[in-house]
Amino acid sequence: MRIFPSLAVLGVLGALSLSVAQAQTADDILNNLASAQKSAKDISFRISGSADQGGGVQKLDLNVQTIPASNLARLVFNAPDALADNVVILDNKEVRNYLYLTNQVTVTSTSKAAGGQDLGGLDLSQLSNLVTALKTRYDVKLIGTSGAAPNRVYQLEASPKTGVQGGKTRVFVGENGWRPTRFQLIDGGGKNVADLNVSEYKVNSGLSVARLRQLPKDAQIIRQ
Amino acid sequence: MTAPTLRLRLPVLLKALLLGPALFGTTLFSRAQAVTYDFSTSAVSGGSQPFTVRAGVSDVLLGGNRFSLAVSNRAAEVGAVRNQPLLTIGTVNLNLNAAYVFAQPGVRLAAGAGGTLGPVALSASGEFWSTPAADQEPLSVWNLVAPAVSPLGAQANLEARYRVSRTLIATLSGELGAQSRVSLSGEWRSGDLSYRLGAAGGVNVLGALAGVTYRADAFTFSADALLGRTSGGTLSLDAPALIALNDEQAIDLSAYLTYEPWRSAALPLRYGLDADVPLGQVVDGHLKLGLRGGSGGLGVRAGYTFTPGAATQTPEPEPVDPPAEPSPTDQPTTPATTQPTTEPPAQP
Repeated sequence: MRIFPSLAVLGVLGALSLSVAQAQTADDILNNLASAQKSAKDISFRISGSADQGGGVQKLDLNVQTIPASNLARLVFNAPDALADNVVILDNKEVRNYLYLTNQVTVTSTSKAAGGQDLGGLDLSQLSNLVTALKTRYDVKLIGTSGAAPNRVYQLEASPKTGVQGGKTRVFVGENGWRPTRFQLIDGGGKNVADLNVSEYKVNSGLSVARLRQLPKDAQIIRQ
Repeated sequence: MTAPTLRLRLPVLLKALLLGPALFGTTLFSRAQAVTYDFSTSAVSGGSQPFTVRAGVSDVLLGGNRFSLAVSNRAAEVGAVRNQPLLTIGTVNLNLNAAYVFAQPGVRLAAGAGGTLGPVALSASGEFWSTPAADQEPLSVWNLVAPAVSPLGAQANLEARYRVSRTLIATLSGELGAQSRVSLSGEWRSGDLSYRLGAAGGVNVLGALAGVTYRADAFTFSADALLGRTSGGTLSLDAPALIALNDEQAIDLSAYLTYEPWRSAALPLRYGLDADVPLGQVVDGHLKLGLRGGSGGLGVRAGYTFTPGAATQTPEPEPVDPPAEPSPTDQPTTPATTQPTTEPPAQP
């Protein structure tokens, strides 16, 4: 499933939000998002849309919750049906993946998950410094703007420097509230393989670390 | 008589078992892999040798595999597991277990493979034995998943699960061996409750399957029945966090009772009660107490399990990094000379 490396980028970019200053270059936007992200206690949003994995277009729908200060993110799948109710919890130490079908939790060290699963070469253990991590491995540029102030939408494009996947990730960042509003994943041939909208975006809704880490207690734990 | 050789073998094996990993642990596995040690003793009613004493080490990480070694006054055991998680969408695992049983020398071998990928989960395993299960571990004959009690035999198991829709899972499982059987069932999940319906057929068994599972925050309870010419059923309770000791630790309780009168290769009545008591955050380790019983008797087991370093690793303090301001000069992705005084370029 080639969409998953890009999903990591998407998750990373999605965790960045809010800014006070008016940003006009890709760097400015990213830096402002990052500094605002550090001030947000928690961020949650929903990503929904469609993805074409080569075997036809599939619906994709997941809820994302993050607590930036704890380097913690929780992803819960709603669609496709095959992955629904699966949960991914990642921090800078390990990735916990709950598989609904077999009631199992796989535990992988974050560095191993990033290396072995080839998350576009992105080191998830650097969650604490997303922008640096992102810019080390991706070229991020501003490719367009739409709308008029104060509701402009900036269009950023991230492409891996090493050409790991040959694809690109486009992120639409809304000026009003400074938050990502849409993601597009473009494959090496320029084809739009995923188009995802961000909705139900909430900041500081009082999420707790314990709540984000919660998994069914009777699940079988599989390490490494 | 195996007693003299045992007396020789045990200290040597124990030493190798305990010193080996400990030495490895400080050299090869300098990255502090969480090796787990366990010691247990059990007693069973009846029989000429009611006591079992066992020492083992598990989770020895070597080349991506997890090895386990154990020795008791009845058998020497070795195991290996390899897991490969497929991020988000599944996992693949392989496992091998072998035991050499001292009394009436014989072996018990098992190999299995399983995998989950998206909506499909498959698992297959095979077993061969030339000595009865009770000679390796007398309490095992009353396990929930019943081992065959014959002194010589082989068995193959297969299970396939398919997620038909978000709330419906179909399961096909089969057992080929001394008492072969096959079953097909569907599980429908609605909130905290899951309902199962299906059919099972095989040697001396034919009937309908019905079951329900209730998942609460602190426990999971399941009841299953087979209704046919001979009827039976299983009750099970798993309460991993019913009695909380502190924020991080809780006493884990589980229990089961199963009565399967159609079983001819395994014991029809089996029950068990287990408690896992963490010994706090200062003293490392878990105390494990168990009761097993059913057709033909009962037994008790007490064990101590500890993972050196685990107490200092977990509970993990939430990392609070100093707010590192990302420097705009980290990567020269855009020319520094471009002053952000103009509007961003218009969309092409």
